[in-house]
Amino acid sequence: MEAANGGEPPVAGASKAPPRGSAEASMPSGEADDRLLVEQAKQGNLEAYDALVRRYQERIYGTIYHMTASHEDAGDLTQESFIKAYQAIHTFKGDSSFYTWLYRIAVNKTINFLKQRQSRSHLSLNDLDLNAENDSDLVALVSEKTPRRDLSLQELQGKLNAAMQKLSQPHRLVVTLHDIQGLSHEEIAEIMDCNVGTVRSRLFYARQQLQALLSDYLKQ
Amino acid sequence: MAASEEKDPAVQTLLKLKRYERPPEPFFDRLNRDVMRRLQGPEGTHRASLFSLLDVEFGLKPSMFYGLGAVFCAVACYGLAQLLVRTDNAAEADAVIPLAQLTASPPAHAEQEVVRTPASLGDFVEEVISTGAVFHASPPGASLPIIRVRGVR
Repeated sequence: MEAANGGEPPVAGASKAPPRGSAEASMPSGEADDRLLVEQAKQGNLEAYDALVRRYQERIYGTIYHMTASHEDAGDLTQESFIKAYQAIHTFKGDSSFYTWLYRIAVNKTINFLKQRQSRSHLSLNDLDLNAENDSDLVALVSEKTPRRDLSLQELQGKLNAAMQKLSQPHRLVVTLHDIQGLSHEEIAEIMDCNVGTVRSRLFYARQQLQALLSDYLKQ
Repeated sequence: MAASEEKDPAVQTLLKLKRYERPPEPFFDRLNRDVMRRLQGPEGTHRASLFSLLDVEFGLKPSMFYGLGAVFCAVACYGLAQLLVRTDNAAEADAVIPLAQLTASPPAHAEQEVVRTPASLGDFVEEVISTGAVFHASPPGASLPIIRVRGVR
């Protein structure tokens, strides 16, 4: 099932290549191919489903990871999401794209998990990829724009994650899906089952909050 | 609208940092293997239940189902109780009393069922008109119907 992965753009938060932009993220490769694989998976073809898992596991993991800020929880929830999606795949009618349907399952699962986990605030963050130090925007952010010039990227990562965890779940989800995963407002509205205006206002408010929380580390 | 068109470049640049947070190298191979191994077991043949499908579609969690179930049971119990109370009241209101007692002392035998046959058809019609009594049934062999009075105790 290598062919299923062919042409797949680098996945935000998972691949070695630099993160993709939102336009790339909004266009998953081979939607028709997805439909074919879904039809085969409905017939019980596990190889077809394996291809779908390989195609989307990094994005789903990335979304859950940025929501939970825990590598272990994200791994478990990603597995559970794919298992649940397989068990319910016979109900997928193709009204939306497969990956938004899959995202919705993962997001619902994550939100339920976070509600149960509210008392626990354990973060287990992944290490930054070495490529982060070659990203000119980030280097500039640390060396020139950040008032606290002695702050390293790792420290900045910690501050950013702490600020993200202070956002409410819907705001964190919108920031994750849009600014990190690169999905469009319309796709996010479909995943979150709300209208596009709500997505925009949540994004605006979430960024304002992040700006306020990280004002010490951002040059105005 | 692309992210770059928005107006918080500093925050967005900082958020770019999150994209570089990655799990250790073999993580996704292992994840994929684990998912497929589970699907090859009993979990692969299990089909999602109705609750599970609602969860998939709407993100409802089990506690919500239990809550909905409890509300449904409460409403059903209330409805049943109301039905029993009304049946009881209707039975009481449907008690048959002799016409003679309507003018004398009705409460004394309010619950007692009395069968009475008017002396003639003319009496029957007159009684029906004057008292509001209703025709109910005729015993076998009777030439005239029984008089029952509804709603009078």
